[in-house]
Amino acid sequence: MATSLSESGLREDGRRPHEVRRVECKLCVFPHADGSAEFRLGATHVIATVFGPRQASTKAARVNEDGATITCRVQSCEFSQSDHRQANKFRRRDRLLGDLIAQTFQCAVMTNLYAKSSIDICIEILTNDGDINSAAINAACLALINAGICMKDYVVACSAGFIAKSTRSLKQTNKTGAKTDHIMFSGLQGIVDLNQQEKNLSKHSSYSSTNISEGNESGLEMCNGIVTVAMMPNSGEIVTLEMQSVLPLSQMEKLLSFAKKGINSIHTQMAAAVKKHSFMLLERKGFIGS
Amino acid sequence: MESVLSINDRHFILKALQKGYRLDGRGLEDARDVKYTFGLNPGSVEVQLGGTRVFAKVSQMLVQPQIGKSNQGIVVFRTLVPPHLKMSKEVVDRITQIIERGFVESKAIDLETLCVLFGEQVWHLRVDISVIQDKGNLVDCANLAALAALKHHRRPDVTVVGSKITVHSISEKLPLPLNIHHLPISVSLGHIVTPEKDDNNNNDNDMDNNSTKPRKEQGGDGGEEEEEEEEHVTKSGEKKGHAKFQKKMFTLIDPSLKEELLLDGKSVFTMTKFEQLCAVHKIGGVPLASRDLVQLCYTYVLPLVNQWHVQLENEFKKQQFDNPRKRKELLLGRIVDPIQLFDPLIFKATSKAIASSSSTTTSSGHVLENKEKPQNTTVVDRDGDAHVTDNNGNADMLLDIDIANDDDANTDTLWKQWIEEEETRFQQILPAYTDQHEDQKDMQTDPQPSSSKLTLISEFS
Repeated sequence: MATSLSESGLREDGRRPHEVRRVECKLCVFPHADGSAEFRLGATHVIATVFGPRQASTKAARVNEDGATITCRVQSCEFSQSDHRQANKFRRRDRLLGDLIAQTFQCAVMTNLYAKSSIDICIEILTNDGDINSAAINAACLALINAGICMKDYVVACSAGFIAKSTRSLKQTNKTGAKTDHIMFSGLQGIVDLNQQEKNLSKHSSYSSTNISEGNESGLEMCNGIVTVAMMPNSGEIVTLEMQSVLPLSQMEKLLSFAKKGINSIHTQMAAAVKKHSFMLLERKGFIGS
Repeated sequence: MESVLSINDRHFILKALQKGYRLDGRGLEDARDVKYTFGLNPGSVEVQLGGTRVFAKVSQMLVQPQIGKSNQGIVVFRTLVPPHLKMSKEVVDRITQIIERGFVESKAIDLETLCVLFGEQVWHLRVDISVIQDKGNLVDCANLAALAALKHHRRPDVTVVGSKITVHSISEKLPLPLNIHHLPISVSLGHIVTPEKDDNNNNDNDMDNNSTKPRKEQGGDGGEEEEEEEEHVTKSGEKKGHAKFQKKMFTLIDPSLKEELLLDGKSVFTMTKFEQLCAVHKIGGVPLASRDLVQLCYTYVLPLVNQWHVQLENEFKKQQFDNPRKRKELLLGRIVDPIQLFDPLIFKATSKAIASSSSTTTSSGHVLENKEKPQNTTVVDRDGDAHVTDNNGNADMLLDIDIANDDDANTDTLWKQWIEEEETRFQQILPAYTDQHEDQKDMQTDPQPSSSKLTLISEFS
């Protein structure tokens, strides 16, 4: 099995284990929508638009007196992945992602303020280089903020996982481990913000079944868990959590703490972008003298 | 489900929950009973979880492998929901996704053993999970059904010579079980956060208690309780400003349909017995701290996973042994394909027809070559009991036989293999099934209408 950690403890694309890819956010990219945002996470590129709160189109939403109904539609471009696929091949994944985003924001948006109305989120996946679920959630969050919809907190998502290290890189990081505080145990390295390559790597990695059934420490070495966590960064509470692959329960909390680090660094950049955008608006209206 | 819970029901269920009761009389941490009904065909199972019923069936075919996975078989899950349940596509897809993640992405099924010829032919298993009735917690039920079906399934044996693939019918070689590494069992937890009304209720309760104060003051215990209550009141008084954010969370295991409508959040954990998480789905709902999430796994999920795991294993043991008589009949039949394997009714009706068709199926598959190496000798005596003796002459297993007229080389090999397997199995699990064994002995003493004396000589190929 190939390992994606180099001997110096760097990942294939040159990042350190706890480093997220370059985050670029832009608010108000489509003026005709109530809110819109563009979110780039490395090569992953997602555009989100928000329409609403507006009168609901479905009867169920119009009757809902308790709060707003949030819907989400996700579309993938045919050229979004390295293997060119027809758009309808993505349909099931997109439907599930849309459902996930809608449910995530249902509890983050203060829906009780918008009774009998609907908030529609539209997400376009332009490029998928791994971790689209988190990128889509982040983009939707920015678009909702741009639309001026009340939310309890930011909802920021990030993925995290473990990759196995070869023995060679294990030795190396053992030496450097004292200097830089890379968290490591049993030859596994927690990484944050997995790109497509790393995701595939842990998907296709194999482990021996005997290790799993014994449930011992050596079983750890080969198995990987991938989590996608959406969190409210200020309260540190998890809104949405998805996990794939196999992970010992005892490692779950560690993995979540890795994810939290990634979320915090993405959150600061998102907050900065929002701040920058609002200062720009203030400046334009003449509240801030130039 | 699109149905709505009435306000009265909502209040009633919530109040009951606060006192630790649920509508169907369970405690908060109890799951409903699981009942397995194994179908007559291999790989078909109906699972009942309370009123929820799911039927799962595994079917297979040989296909070309996927690009880039030329040494792996394919396992596909389909969830079929009848239209009257009015489930949205998302919900159905989510169930499929949870099951898929539990089995395929956690590599519970060994896909590499499903490869027949590298890059050319692999087994394509399709697990159809059809929902019959939804009375809450469909995910767990569907997952258990898929698990039991895959465990129950047998695929035909295959011989590869060069690039020629021969698929053996059941009369030639025994079908093989799937290689399952671990049993991923999903447990869904419902979370209910009592709203600020809860505080009012508490206050009401306190008020009630205050009114009953004089009675309680008589006992020393009552006094202590009061102190505690007073503390509680002061606490809630302090936090009154944040009454909205003061919440008490209930966690329900295995929520029923009415409870599902009431839930503020749901999380599904797929775990194995060995504390390995295979999949987690917590989508939206109540925000939880990461420590609480892990704690939920330890306190609620793990015990139930263990319980269901043990039950499933027992169920399979029972399933193998609960009806030895039925199996014996089958052993003697001309069993041609897997459909007839576990179905005595079909067998009885079509035994003649199958007997005539057995020769054709044999010719299509691997042709058995008769070698002069008799290994096991089976003799059927007047009582209709079959005595099996192997070369060493030590094994002697009794089986009763109702109908046995012909001898056929295929049946003999089949019979011999079954008997060998069963001998080992019986020895392993004999103590647990002594009662059944006694029944069997009783049955043997009954005079059976024996048809004819039969001597079967099995050959080893």
